[in-house]
Amino acid sequence: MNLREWMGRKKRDGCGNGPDYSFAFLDDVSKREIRRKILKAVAIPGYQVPFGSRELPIARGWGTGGLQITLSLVLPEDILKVIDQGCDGSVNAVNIKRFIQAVTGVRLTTDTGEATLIQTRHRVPEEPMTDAQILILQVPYPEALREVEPSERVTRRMHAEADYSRMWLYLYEDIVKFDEITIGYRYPVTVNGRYIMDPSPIPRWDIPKLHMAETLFLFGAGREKRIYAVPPHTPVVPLEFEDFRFRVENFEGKACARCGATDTYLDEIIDDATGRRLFFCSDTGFCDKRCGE
Amino acid sequence: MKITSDETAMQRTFRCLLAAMSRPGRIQVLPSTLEGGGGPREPLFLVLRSLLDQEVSFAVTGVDRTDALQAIIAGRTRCPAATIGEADYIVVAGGDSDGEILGAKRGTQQYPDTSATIVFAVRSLLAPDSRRPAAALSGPGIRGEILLGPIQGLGPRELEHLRTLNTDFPMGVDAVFIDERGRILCIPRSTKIRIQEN
Amino acid sequence: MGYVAVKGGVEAIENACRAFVRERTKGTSTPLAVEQIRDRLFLLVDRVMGEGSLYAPDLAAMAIRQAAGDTLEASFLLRAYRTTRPRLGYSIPRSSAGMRVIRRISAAFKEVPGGQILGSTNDYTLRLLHFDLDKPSKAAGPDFSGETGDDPRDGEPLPGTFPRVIDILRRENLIVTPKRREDEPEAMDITRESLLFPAPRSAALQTMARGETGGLLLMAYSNMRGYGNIHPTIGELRVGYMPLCIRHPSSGEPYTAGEVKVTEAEILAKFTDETEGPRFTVGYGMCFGHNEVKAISMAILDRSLQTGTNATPSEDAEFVLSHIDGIESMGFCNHWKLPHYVDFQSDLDRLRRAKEIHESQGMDGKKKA
Repeated sequence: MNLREWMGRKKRDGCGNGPDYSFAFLDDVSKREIRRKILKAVAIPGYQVPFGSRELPIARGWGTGGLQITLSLVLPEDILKVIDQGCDGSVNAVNIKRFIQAVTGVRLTTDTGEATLIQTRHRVPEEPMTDAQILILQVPYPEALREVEPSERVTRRMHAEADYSRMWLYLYEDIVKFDEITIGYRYPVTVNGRYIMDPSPIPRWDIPKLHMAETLFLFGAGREKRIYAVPPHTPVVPLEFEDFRFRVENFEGKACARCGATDTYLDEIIDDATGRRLFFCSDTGFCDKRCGE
Repeated sequence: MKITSDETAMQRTFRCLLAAMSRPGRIQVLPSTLEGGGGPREPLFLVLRSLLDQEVSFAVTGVDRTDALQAIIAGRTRCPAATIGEADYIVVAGGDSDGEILGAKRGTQQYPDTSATIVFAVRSLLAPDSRRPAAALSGPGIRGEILLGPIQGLGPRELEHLRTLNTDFPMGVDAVFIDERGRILCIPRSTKIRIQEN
Repeated sequence: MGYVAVKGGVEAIENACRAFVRERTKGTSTPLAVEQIRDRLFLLVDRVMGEGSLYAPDLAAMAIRQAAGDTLEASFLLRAYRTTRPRLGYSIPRSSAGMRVIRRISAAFKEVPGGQILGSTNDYTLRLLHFDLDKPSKAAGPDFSGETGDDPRDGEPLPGTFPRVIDILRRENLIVTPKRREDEPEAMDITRESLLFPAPRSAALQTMARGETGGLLLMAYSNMRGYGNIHPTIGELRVGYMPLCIRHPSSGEPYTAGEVKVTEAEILAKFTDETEGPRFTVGYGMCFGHNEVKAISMAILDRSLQTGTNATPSEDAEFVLSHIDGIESMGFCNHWKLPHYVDFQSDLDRLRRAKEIHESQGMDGKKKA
């Protein structure tokens, strides 16, 4: 019996312990709550909506927030792509994909252009997405201000008052110390001129893709129990100073050793034998497409 | 795995709502798999059933408000009824609340999501005389500006009321408009409404 | 080449899963029966039901077997299963005065009405390894062990219920009356609504009742050791069965659907003199199954969270309640095993840039802290 058959098995001889899971795993009450919260998130771009996050068969911190969003809106006719660090074949992406397919029967793809739903951890695909697609991002830390303030009560108040002075001070101190903003990934952004938002641990390379996009971006933090969103055509601006600009990662003079791309985010691989460094596209689906696979 | 048509109809309805909420002013069409006889209220019931249950509350107001309508909604969703000031969802039957929606809850600065969603049940989102727009909308989800055609069966001052409710962003309400043919359109609080002078 | 190493894919996952099953079932011993785990390792089952937030002894035993005895993993299996079950109704609140008690002690008084009932406990055993535990003979171990098969009650039946020590003190006006803040709901449900701060007491208690035993113990221990000053006296500790009453779905009549084994702890702590004159304050703990360390820790934390100052970690509601869930904390801890190379690459880019600036400014050799 495969996973899909097992999930659908009816209750065993009246003892009530059989799986008998429903479409998209979550029960109706859970789905409705998540739907209500998603709509609120879309209506208040960048604001973190608290939700009663459910436990899933995937561990907390492994994409349960993104997964709950996906499960509350997925349709049997959807074409799903799941990536982890840009890679379709990464173990966690495969595990999540396998689970969603088992409880919904959706078709899977690695082609960004073909997908209707994409669930991702730490990357936005290189290929521009359209208004017919939704990108669902898995989020470990929904609170961008957590770097400067550990207490949720305090950060709530800071957001309510749009009091972001400590965040700006943090950037300023960084510059004093290093003469540069040293934030790598999870670069804080201002959404629609109001909320400072954590864009999830995507590299800075992906931040410009969120700005005035065609696509709806939904963010789910399962462990921290927050949902937030960036609607299409919404300004998403990284925090920067006039004389210290936000910059994406520098891959100057480097190219993908496989497809030759010079305009993608690259993974740096250390070749065991020689200690030589090689670069490959982080977005494996995009790289495959270029290689004609 | 059992996939009941009702489960997928609910997901389909929600996807439609989500598309409408993320692209304010643009009309979406609900899935045609309407339950029951497909009467003029079925699109409304479909939307309410995809969102409402015992965990939230609703109120009915508007010129077409009846106790029977309230009872049907409560019966189909198991959602408890509440006053306008407390309800999480306010159904404006007949599209004209006569200012009642001004009493809707708008959330707090810390939790602006604890606000009401206003569901306008209107006759048609495509009025025959669609040359004169009712309003121009701009904001997140809208490229530049979008013109909102006149909505048949919407009270003359409802858009103005929405604008009043949404002056203190992020506090405010989000509005869903549903017509009798299953078309829907949303105006979230983040949308700027510029009412066209006629 | 490194590139393919991250592409484990389906096959690698399936092999890893199979390897675990193989390891769990290796050797020649008799396969573990669910009943055996349920009956013989009942304290483990109780702990998993509490942390898994689902009262189902058979399912908990199944989960323990499947998780090869890992309590975090077993509780996680129960929680994930719980997500898929519809909520059919809500139980009616009941006073624990109606508990069918199998053990109750008070440290506050030498004698209490109804008596001190030791029931079954490990407290007084000599912690000597029993090499011949399985032998049925009476000579197998010291009499205190409780493992000899004797009925510790000598056949004398216990009364159904006992008066609560705390109620006796309350009648004498020695204890503060708990007050619900006006804006607090009757009982919040953190599985339906996200926990927000300030958290209502009901939400705090629910979070702790689902908390990981070790996590609660750590926080409570820090308080009793000195990072805090609760200095509790155990007013009463009870183990027993609480009737589960619900309303009949059609008639609305209340009826008892079954009973749930729980541990309840009430601690008395330093007195206040706020509104009603000097009185003792109380901390309350209750959890599924027989788990005394958890119930006592919870009661201490319930009291320390009411202190109102955030002077120590155990007094800070956000600190305590955000960090005691076993399923959340173990999930996040384990997630660091996932690849993070995209993020690391981004950090590397910033580090190289910072070094470049540093070197161009001729600050070589002057290491910064």
